[in-house]
Amino acid sequence: MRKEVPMVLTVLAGLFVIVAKYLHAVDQLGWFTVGNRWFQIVYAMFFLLGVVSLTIVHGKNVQRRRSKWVYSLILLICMYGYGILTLEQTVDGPEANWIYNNIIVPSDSTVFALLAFFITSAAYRAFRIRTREATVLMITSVILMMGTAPIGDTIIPGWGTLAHWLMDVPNSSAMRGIQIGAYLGGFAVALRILFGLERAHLGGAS
Amino acid sequence: MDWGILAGAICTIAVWTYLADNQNPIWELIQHIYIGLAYGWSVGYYWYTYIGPTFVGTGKDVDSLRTGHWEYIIPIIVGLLIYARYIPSISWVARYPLSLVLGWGAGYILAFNPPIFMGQITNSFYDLWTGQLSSSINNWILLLCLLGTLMYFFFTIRRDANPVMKGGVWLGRWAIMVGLGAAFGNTVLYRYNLFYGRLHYILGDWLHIAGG
Amino acid sequence: MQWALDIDRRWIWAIIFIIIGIVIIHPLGLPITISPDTQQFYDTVQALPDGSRVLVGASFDVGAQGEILPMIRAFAYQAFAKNLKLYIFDAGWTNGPKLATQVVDQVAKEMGKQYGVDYVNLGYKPGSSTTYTLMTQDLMAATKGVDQNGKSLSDMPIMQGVQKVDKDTFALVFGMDIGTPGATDAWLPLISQPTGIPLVVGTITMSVPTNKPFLAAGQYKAMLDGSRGAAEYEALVGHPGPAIAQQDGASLAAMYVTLLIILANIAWVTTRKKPA
Repeated sequence: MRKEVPMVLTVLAGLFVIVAKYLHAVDQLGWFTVGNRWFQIVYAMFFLLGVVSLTIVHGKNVQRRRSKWVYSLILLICMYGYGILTLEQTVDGPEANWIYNNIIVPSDSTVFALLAFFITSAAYRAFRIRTREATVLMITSVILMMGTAPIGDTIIPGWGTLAHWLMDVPNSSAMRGIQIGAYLGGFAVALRILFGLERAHLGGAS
Repeated sequence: MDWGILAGAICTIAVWTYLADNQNPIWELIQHIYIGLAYGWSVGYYWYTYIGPTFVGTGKDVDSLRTGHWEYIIPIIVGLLIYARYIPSISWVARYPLSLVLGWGAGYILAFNPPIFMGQITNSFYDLWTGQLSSSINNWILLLCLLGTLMYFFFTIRRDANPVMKGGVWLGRWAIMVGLGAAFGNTVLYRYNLFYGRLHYILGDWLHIAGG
Repeated sequence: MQWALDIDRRWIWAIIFIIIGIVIIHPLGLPITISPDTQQFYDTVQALPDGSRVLVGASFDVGAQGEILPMIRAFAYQAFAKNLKLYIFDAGWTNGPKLATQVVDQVAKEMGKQYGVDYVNLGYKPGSSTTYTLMTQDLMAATKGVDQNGKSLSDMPIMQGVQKVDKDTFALVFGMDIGTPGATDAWLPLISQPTGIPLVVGTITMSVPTNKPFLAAGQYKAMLDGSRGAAEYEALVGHPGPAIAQQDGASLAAMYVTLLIILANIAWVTTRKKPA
């Protein structure tokens, strides 16, 4: 009941998609559309997972007055306050939209932009011409950086063409090789799930 | 004064304080505010774009619970079972929706990805003499680098089994280094482009000292 | 040269602020040449019959907006000039459709286009793969018949005659790719391949290398290669914008990181201990 039923459900769900996709007769009956409608709802019901998790974790912080509990309280006030505001006036309502465009968007995009700093210091600390392979990696990245930005062509005409060639020819075939491997890996994992060999989601080792 | 821009500038600078000290109170504050707001936003967003129409049917032509489509109770209940994970005594019930979703996803991979995979394979039968020297050389490089990369990931054959395998793995390693070098170079530019946008916001939109 | 290896990384970071700040205050305005990829993208959109429907796959999040929004902005200029109808949608990234629509709103205002008539925000709908496929089976079911803010789609003129995403209804899919789900695992296998609708892609600079094989195989009809592609596209459509400005920053960044790598290697070579 606790492990067998979920395993059977996994197999049935997976087989349903494969049969519905490849057997025209099943597709004609419209079952796949119905299945997709139902699964869309199942997925949608997960939407509060983040809110519930945050409430439990930060609620406990506040309740037990753990260190930095004030931040947890601020998080909860922001989450519920803004949740109620967006429910009241939609996310495009005047106040809701103001908060989105002037707090959420600047904060989020600045967090992602922080990586410019870390990637720079990582390049400074880690890129060393220790081996021939490391040298190739370093030279390629320099050619690509300078060639993708307009500065490469400005300094040496034709630099951009070299960068394009590196991207379109050796890079393209190496990436294709990696992706063929990734596709095969994906198929193997999907088959393992359908054969019941992958059981990590049931709380046990695979 | 545009209070919106001012608020955005304060948030941007608050996030940058992380660079000076990753435990500072301004950073702690902004990250908690941001996470709280982002999740709060998702509540209203989900409600209007999907959950509301499913339950009370704001879309005219779409079947919802209100229009008598009670069969949707089943997926709704199945989906809600995921929250059982927060109740220790019945947390195993959450495996039901998870298993269904996982199986459904695995089915999708096997049903929809093979045509794309095959497209990649069939496009790899390169024309080795195109009538033009440069494109023919390119096609040779494409083919050899691809075969080398694939050989590099063969783990069932010893790499020093024969000269072909040895040479292939050698070439593959170089091709992969070029690929990773390209990926690194492009990642650097990507992150700088994002940073440019943020600094432009401060110098241009807020302080009005951007040129051009 | 030991100092170079021991330097506090915050000095390296401070210089980033200085150099990018300088090009923002004094732009370099370096010339931008048009690459074949971008030209192909422009030509593909230009070749569409006037008034065609285009599904805009807003598969991106706030973090990537700096590179993706300039593409959508330039695309909106070209699309509206040809009276194309835009359907903005995604099933994987919650913020994408809202951010994309905000930019399209600005262009639409400038070009006299109307929401619900010339473009619509079908919103983010949960379900990922399931929902992408459902779009090709029953669009009203996939979107629950409402736009992002719960407004009924059936009242909008732009939705007349649109039952599902198929080749008879849509002329093009413009899908973004910043990660999963994106062009390679959603727009290509779930929308473009099953329906036969041509797919053009806009990708962030970081994802260009991994997307190249799909362009080479013809599975993508065309691709905008990150910020540089967006800058070239802005130049082609005649509306210079943020992507062109970014190229100055990218140029100095490339030089700065290159110089740092050279400096670090000189320091490493001169200070490393020789084996006894």
